[in-house]
Amino acid sequence: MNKSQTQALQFLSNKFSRRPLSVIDAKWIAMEGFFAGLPDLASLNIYAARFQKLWNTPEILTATRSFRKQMEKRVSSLNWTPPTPHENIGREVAISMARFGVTAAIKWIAASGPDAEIEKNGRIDGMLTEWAWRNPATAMALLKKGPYGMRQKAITIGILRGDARLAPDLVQLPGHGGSIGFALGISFAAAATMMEYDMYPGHGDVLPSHQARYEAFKEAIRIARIKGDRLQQLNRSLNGGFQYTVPEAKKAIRLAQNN
Amino acid sequence: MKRDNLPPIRTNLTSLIAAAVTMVNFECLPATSVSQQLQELRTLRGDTNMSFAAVSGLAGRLERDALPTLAREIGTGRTDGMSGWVRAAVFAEWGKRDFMAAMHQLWKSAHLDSGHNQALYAVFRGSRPSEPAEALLHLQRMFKDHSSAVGAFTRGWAKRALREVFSEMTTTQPEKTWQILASD
Repeated sequence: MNKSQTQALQFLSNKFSRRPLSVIDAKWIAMEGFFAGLPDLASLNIYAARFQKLWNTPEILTATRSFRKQMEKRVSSLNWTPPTPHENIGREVAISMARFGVTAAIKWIAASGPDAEIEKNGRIDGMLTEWAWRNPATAMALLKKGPYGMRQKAITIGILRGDARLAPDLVQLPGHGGSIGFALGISFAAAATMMEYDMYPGHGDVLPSHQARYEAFKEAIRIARIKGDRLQQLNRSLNGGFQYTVPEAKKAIRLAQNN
Repeated sequence: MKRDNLPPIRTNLTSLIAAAVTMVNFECLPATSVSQQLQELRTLRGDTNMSFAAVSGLAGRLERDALPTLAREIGTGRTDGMSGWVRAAVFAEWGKRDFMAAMHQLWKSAHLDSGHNQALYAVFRGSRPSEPAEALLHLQRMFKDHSSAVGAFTRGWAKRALREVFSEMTTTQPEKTWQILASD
């Protein structure tokens, strides 16, 4: 490695940040990759501290602050604003730590500052959702070991968004309480969108398929035995999410409009 | 008995056997049929037993003339289902064999959609040097020398590529990678 790599990064930064109101910057994206590539927990802690010192910011420690709000707004609001670079780095540090066990990442966030419990809980839930979204099979294996208490909902949402085909098995696991309907409903929109990671070749070599995701969700709703208004609401939301990509969903929407 | 009604273990076995048969059949295909096989695969929308490696293996067996023809026919468009995997495999193979021709095709593309994004990423994957520091320079050259093909609105692929390259660099040389990031 030499000076040319640094210049390449500067060049790409100029290219990426051309758009107005954009926080896209090659250096921050590269930094996310850096933390994702660190081989162990000790290195992660060392470089997270160096990052904080170098940029003289406490934000690395509170970076996951708005995780839950970001995740919820991403699917439900037009007012969504992109996370700041520091938020992204904090997210990557926490998710990289989760590679060595989610407990390590939870501890790191819990030790992140004097904020109220509710703030910390939001950050932990956000990290778990994002981690499970990227690693649905690993997250599913974690839940199969046993219920995950108050964090189960966050992990469930991540799995549903990351690999909808796990949905029928997922809803049958114990420990969801009454939250499975909510977890399903909040996951449709994200699962109906093809993400960057779906391009080549997708999570765990699973074919990214709108049709397969739609069918898996339908099956999960059936297995979960959701009834009444909640059932209608979920079906409406499912068909709405997939109406442009799955003919059956479009047909169901038209049928509902005519009735 | 319908496949869906089989107990799970049997279903898995059936899937494995079907996948193995599929692989064997593809290995035996004459090169001229490979293109046709990929065309047929594109029409699949639902689930399949095939892995991405198997689709890439097929693309690797395309004849010299068949590859650009198929890539042009695929073009851009939907990224999900087998059409997405076939696009990714074919454009990666084209990028590997003839990077300039693949980029020229993308420059001519009328639609800067997610399919364009997918094809660009595949070309990068197919053509990039294996050494991450060199791959970074390759990414820079793609932006510098092929700005028209790269497009203004479909750069999600580049973010992913950059993230991956730096992750690879860090795995082997964390301190040197940090120095690049920490410099102004």
